[in-house]
Amino acid sequence: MELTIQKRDFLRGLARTHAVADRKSSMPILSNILVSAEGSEALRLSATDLYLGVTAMSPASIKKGGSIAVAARTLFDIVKALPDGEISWKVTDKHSVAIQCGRVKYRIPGMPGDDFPPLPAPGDATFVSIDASMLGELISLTQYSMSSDDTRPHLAGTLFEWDGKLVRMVTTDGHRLSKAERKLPEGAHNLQMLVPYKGVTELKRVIEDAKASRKKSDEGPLTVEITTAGGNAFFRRDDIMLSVKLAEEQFPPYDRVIPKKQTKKIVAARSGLIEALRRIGIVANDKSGGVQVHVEAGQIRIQSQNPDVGEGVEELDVDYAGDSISIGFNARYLLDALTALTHDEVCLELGGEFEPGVIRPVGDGADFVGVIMPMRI
Amino acid sequence: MTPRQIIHVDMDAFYASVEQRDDPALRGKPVIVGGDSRRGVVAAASYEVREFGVRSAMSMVEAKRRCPHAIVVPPQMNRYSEVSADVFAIFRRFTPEVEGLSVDEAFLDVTHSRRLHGDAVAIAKKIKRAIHDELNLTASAGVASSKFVAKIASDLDKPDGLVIVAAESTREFLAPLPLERMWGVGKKAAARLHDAGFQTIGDLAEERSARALETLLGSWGASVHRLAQGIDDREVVPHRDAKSIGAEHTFERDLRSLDDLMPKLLAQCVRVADRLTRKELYGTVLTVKVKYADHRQQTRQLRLPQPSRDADSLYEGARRLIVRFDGIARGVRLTGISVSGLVAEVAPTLFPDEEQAKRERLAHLTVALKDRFGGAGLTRARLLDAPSNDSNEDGPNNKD
Repeated sequence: MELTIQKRDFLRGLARTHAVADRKSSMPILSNILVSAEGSEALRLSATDLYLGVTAMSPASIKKGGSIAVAARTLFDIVKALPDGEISWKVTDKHSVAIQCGRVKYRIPGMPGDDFPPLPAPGDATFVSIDASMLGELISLTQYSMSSDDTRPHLAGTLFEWDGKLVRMVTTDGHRLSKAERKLPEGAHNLQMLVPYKGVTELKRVIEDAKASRKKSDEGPLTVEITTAGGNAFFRRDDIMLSVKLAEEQFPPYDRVIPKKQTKKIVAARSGLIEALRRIGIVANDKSGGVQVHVEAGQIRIQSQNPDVGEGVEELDVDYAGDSISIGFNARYLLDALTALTHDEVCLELGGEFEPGVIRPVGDGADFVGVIMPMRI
Repeated sequence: MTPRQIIHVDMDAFYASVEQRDDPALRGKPVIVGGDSRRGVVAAASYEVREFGVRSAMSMVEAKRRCPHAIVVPPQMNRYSEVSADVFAIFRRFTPEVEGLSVDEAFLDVTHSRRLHGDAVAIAKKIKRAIHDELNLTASAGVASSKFVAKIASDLDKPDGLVIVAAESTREFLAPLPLERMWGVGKKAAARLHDAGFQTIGDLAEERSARALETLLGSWGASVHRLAQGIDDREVVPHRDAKSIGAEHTFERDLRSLDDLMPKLLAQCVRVADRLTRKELYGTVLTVKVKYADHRQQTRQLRLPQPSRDADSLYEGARRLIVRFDGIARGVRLTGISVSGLVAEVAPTLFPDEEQAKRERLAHLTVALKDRFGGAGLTRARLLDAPSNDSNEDGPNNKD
């Protein structure tokens, strides 16, 4: 294997892939990145932890084909540190590679590329395009309530549903739940998958990377292509492809726990509510993070007493004319939902003292529901 | 400012006394409470057996060598906790300012109880009488103007003692005492102080500058200097919540396989779960401790998927952790399970786990039955074929 590649191109490909390599795995080869020649003008960089796989293509000038697996972190650090310019890459035998750039020379050990586990391939599955910004927005709206607890794989991910023209993401950690939806102007499709949280995080990175590397001259919406095959989901954007092993577990029946008939609907300024929760959260109970929320006509009062820290109370004017109610919530749970939104006003919907509270945005694009279990204070 | 009035009450040979009280056959006999195995240690020694030089924390082998006819009784921690609760209830009649140091000793700040109950001496006498009349046990008390002096005083006239140190005679009281009497001065520190020419607490108090003690003892030297002069303004801190609940086993012989270890871990999980259930607490962090044959110790911990108090949830966590220990094949002499991050309440969840709720109800029931019929009355089938003389110890943080 022998080639030359611009540092800039190499670094970009490595930046997108090296983080997926699993340095803690019991399979040492997984801490490597597979570098393989693709035709005469491209270098393929692949990394996997057996659950996630990512492949990036970088333009290169291939003199002699082949592949080798080298330590991902070391390679990334080396290429990052090299001076700008052309890098020459030459595998001298099966087990080491010589890297040269200007007057800098490295030789690093590697493993035969054939030993690297094959990444899942989409085969001839058909990819469907979806608006990348919309996908990014749905992730941002729901990521906060996603569990990252590997012992409960049925919760540790995002339920992604493409239901005709409706695209939906739902997450829950058992104490709160969020559901966000967008209606597509066109492109009806049907798809349902539970994407583990690492895959969601990586997908978000792919989308952000695509946004960042978009040139001003590019026209039309930024899209990501999606397909599923053999228990994996594939997300493709330009020269990068992400594969995610989907969770086989059943996501809980989320629709059942979204309260439909809340009687008390309180409309408040989102920013005011956020500030009050942050202020009173300072004196919330250390362990539970709980604050009391008292609602009466025209007013909401957020208060907390913590014998060790102190007590605090803040009153806010709200749009509400119903019966008064007192309910306890984890301040952080409310804040997470409120800060995920961007709307000026939100509606807090309550039923009883022990029934979940609901947060919905008020106004256009009000296609978000945040459900939060109350707590006894 | 009037000096504070602090009482330190220490039950006399607590575990052993409870055993002797509950079993007439043990009265007047040399009784050792502890695990009767090769590796057992003395948890408590009755006054009769102390005459033979048997002390708590001594190895059981050594204790039996000194007193071969001693009667060894296995500890019943649940029983002692119950009696302890009765003892503490007596303390709290006189002041809410009760700081428990363990199941059998506590500091009481009675400065503000004088109007109701008389001065500290009167209160100490009333407490001793109540413990004797109501519980048929004896306690020793020290009365002083600081925790440090009260603690030393209670120990001077055991058993059934009462030593009173007036605030103004604190220094004279401390001066002749050997410095080993000081709370926290262990063998090593004492040896270092002796080498430097200090023998009594008075010697320490007379040292002109704290610097000399700091050189010998590090930063702690300055406080030793102050304490030696009877200066101790540490307050009685009522009600320390337990930070963790644990159980551990020292095995009769080293275990080398998971097959042998798992039933032990299960038994420990059951004990921790029982105690969580009794205290109505949930644990959020599970820690497994392993001490290898060479006494090297390792711990591994994880956050439980949800705050738990049932043995199955703890055991599931223990199973995930035990495989992360690297030296099991070389022999394990002790394992321990503990839970921390204790919470009294679990936030309700959107998707309640019916199975866990069932297990918790079952745990409540089994604990109630165990308390009624004794620990051996009800156990898990898996634990039936694993008779053991292992010494069971509750972790140091369990006492409250």
